[in-house]
Amino acid sequence: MALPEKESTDDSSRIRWYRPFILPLLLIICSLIYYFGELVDWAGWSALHLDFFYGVHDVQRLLFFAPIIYASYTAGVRGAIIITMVSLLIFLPRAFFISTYPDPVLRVILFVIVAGSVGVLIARLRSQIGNAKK
Amino acid sequence: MQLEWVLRIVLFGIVHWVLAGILLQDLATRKKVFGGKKAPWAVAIIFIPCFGSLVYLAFHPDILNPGISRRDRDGDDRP
Repeated sequence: MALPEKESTDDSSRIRWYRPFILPLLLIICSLIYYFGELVDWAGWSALHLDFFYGVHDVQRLLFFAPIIYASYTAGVRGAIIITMVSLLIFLPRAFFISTYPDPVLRVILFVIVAGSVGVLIARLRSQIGNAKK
Repeated sequence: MQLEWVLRIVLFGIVHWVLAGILLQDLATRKKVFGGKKAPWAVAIIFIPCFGSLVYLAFHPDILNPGISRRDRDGDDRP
């Protein structure tokens, strides 16, 4: 009986050590993809000059659903709001100074409202499921 | 042009104060903070828009990982 308990403890501690790094890593990867076009121009990597990174960034913005939903799942409503606001901070420089497409700020605000709502709803759903299990 | 800048400042202000509100609440309820004193953190969160909040988040990642409690960090795995 003791062996499986020890194994489960080891597993949980093995899972735990990298948990604080998941959210920052997700945000960094999403930000790199979001500003990849500017990064390529800045670094002069002409071989990586793909049209995908220079269009409307609605698809790249969708990637930010991953950290928002992960935060809502692990850290609840507060985590969802914090990561949504951090994502908005990441979006703002492109919306304010870089984007040449129409209504960049409006598209960012709409995305943040939808993503934040989804995050908050997931957090509340998870909390309700947790309460029901108790 | 003027209206556009007002909109930018308002949006930035909303982000700053939402983050500041959540993090100041966390700071008020927290027993131990990085560095030992709460006042400098409060000043940083309020007076350095967004960047202060991001630095606070970086030094207190357990806000986003409530499962990793102090008990876990101390290596005590009691249920």
